[in-house]
Amino acid sequence: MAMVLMCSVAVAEGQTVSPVDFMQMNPYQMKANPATDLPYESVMSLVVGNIGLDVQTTTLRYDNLFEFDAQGQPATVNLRQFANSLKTKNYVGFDVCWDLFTLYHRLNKGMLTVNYGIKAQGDATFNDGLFKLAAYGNGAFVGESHPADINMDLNLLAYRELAVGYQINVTEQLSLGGRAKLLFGLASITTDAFDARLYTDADSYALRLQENIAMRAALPRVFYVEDGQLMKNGPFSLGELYRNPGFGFDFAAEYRFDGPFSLVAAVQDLGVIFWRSNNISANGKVNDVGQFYDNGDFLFNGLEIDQLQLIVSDDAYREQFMDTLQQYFQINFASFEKYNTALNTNVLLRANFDLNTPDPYKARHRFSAQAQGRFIGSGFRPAFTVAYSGSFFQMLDVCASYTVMKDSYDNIGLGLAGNFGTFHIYLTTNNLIGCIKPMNASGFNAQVGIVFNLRTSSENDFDVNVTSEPLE
Amino acid sequence: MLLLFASCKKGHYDVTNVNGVNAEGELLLPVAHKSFTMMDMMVRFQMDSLVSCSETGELSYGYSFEDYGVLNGQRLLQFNDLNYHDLYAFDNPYPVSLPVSFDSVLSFEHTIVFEANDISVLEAVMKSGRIDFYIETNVGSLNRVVLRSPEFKDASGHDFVLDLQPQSNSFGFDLTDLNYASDVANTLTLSYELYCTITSSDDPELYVDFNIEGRELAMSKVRGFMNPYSSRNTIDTVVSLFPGNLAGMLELENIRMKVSERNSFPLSASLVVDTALMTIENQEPFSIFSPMPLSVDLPSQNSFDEVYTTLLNGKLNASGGRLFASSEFVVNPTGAAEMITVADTCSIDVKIDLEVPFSFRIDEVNYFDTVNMKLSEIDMPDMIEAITLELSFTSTLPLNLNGQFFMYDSEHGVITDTLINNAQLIRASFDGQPTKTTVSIDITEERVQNVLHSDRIIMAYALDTDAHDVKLNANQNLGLEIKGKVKYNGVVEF
Repeated sequence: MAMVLMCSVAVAEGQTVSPVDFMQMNPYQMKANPATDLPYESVMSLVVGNIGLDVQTTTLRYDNLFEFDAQGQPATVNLRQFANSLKTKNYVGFDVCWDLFTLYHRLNKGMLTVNYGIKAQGDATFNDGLFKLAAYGNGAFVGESHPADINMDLNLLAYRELAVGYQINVTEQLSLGGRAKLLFGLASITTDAFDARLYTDADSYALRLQENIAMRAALPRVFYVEDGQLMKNGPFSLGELYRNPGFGFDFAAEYRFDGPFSLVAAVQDLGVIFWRSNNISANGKVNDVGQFYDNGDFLFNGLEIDQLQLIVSDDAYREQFMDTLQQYFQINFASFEKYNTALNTNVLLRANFDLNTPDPYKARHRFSAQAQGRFIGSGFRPAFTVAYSGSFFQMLDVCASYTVMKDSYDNIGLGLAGNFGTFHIYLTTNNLIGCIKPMNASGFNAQVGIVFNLRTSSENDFDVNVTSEPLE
Repeated sequence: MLLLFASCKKGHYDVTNVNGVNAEGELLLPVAHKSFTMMDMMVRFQMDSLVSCSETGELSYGYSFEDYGVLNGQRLLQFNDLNYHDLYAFDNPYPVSLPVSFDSVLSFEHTIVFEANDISVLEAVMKSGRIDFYIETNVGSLNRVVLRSPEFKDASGHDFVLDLQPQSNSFGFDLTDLNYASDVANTLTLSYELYCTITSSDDPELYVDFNIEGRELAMSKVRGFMNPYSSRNTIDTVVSLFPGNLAGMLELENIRMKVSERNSFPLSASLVVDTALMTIENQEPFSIFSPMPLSVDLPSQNSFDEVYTTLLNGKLNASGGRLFASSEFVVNPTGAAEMITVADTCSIDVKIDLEVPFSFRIDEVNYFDTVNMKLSEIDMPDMIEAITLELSFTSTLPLNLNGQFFMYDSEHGVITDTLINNAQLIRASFDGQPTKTTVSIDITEERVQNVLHSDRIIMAYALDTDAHDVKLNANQNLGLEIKGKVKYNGVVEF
């Protein structure tokens, strides 16, 4: 299995992995693994239970973007340096989650879970074509077989989520868990195509531009379409918060082998959102405005001599010419009825190894290896993580993790949590370097929260033996 | 923790002083293109209306000179004013003064000849004219005048009779539309009957003095005999084949000159050209025709007909030349004595057509042109290091073209830069196969400023045919392609 997991690393690109997922005392580990058997009777949080921000990028680095002066302050944008730092495929994504209400409570033979929160996720992949074209000019892209190729894939999704779930230990070895979610979409932007290709003829320098932009968006009514143009001064109403329904599910299973090994398999965010109104499409193809339109492409093979003379001598003509030129590339907006978007579904497979300790109360140690993959708008993004989590004296919970993604090898994570009887407070990051150099790391990640323990005893705030009974 | 780390690097992440984008690269741009056929160029130089094209595309230039009415009937049938004086005097038979008076009729007759050297008029229709009389006499008072002229008849064919009672001793009549007929050419007989009241006088001599004036005498149609009638004409004009600022010599071959004439006189005529000189700057004048004088018969005919054709060779300045010609037109040069009818509408009209094939040899012809431009308002980024313009000419024209391009600042009257310094732009094609020439213009950083501070491009071209005799054809073409390479390196400021 380790070999399989290691192999998956080779194609890993980018993904959100949090130390919280591995911290044994943190109730929010159930987000990633709804089958986990939490060592609590009843916990609750309000507003500040779980606030997470994650930004991932494979290649964007602040220091690559600028030239710095003698004092170390950025002075200019260095386009060529920045373009050179990019790869043929680059990724940037973000994930924001904010749990406004959480309640986990043991009920019968399992644990009932209720969550209400807001999520916003976005990802974009882009190649280096646009930046290299800007940095080097089209002189670096000459010939039929060497166009300046520009493409991008952009996906944004924001929604509110009300999740109700249940966890149960089916046997002493097997635990199952799941959540059903009612969703309300807030906004969505989906790119079906965002491609442009610029050919420069080696002999005549004729420029041929092929363009294909197709995007769909569901936006607040502040945005609307009028005469093919996107307007931004529409009214806003609270009803909009409920007009795009959806549903989703989380599933997980955890199997504890005899001995120190356990295995977790989970699926998260399997669902769909129905965008029902104020949907806007944006289509960009070269418009047939006249002179430079050629069979769907923009072909500029020079001006007529008379035209050139007018451009250099007649201000009014020059202005009109530039206006006409813009019309070739004008993006056409339109309203359309409905569309659906799938949630960014996450799957994971995790192996745990619990180290036997003489006194679990004083210390517990777990080593985990996890392969995770997420279906997001721009593709499937796997990641491989190894993690250590430990708890000491039922008060201190720590986690160290290391995650490998494609073009992202500096994801050293750290989590700290304190359990103070009535409340549990935690602070984690999956990229320590990102905290030190947030603009020059492959990601920035932080997750913080306070969870209140509703049932405490004077002797033991946190009981490692509190578990639900198996069904048998 | 984040704040801690962030505060250590506060300046590092302060982007407020970022002032631009540092970029270095090269842009390749097709700037302009144009394809001309030779006929397109004729249109561009507004010569298309002067140029004719054969089915095979051979071009020739047409130059027409027209002179209508070099000799005309109107002038022939106009006569000088008459000023005639006739005095009748006689002795007074009763030279005493008595208070006696009586009425009497005095009759007189005299013949007037109107001057006409070129024509003897036997019959005519008067177009205009008036004859006025003033009679001075000591015989007595004039009561009535009856004037007859047997040569004049009115429109109805009746004899002309003027019968009037003059208020004074003056009277006259209008000749318009009267018909004239006389057995003796150019003569007019006037018979008077003067009704007078004669009073006695002691004057020893009595007299009647006639003063006759004829004015604006013209005939619209005449029957009679015509003498040789001639007119000398001169042409002094500038002949220019090409509009515009051309200079230089063209050796022209097979220029076809065609003389057409319309002679509506009833007699044949002749044209004798005794001088036809072409004067070209810095050249000796040369005679267009040889031998001289040139004599051309102009038969009587009512439509234009070609009467003379010849082929000429010669040099011509591209900007044109001065043509001076002197000739004499003569109607009835042999003086044939036959009765003719001439109207004042008769004339001799001449057209001279020069057909100049575009078949020539050019040692060097220069052409100048200017293009206005307005670039001073264009904000050219400082980051542009150099611009290279590449001009490619593809030509099937049988002409070499060398060019010089100057940037000119008209406000200060200075040439700011020389973009092209006598480079060959077009290489002649003598076998019909296209030739290609490429010229590069490097506009350095310094030159960019020169260009921006210029408002005019002055272009000087030199044409030659490389010692070949060439023919221009409407289908010969010239393709021009301009492409640019822009090297940039620097900061584009926000």
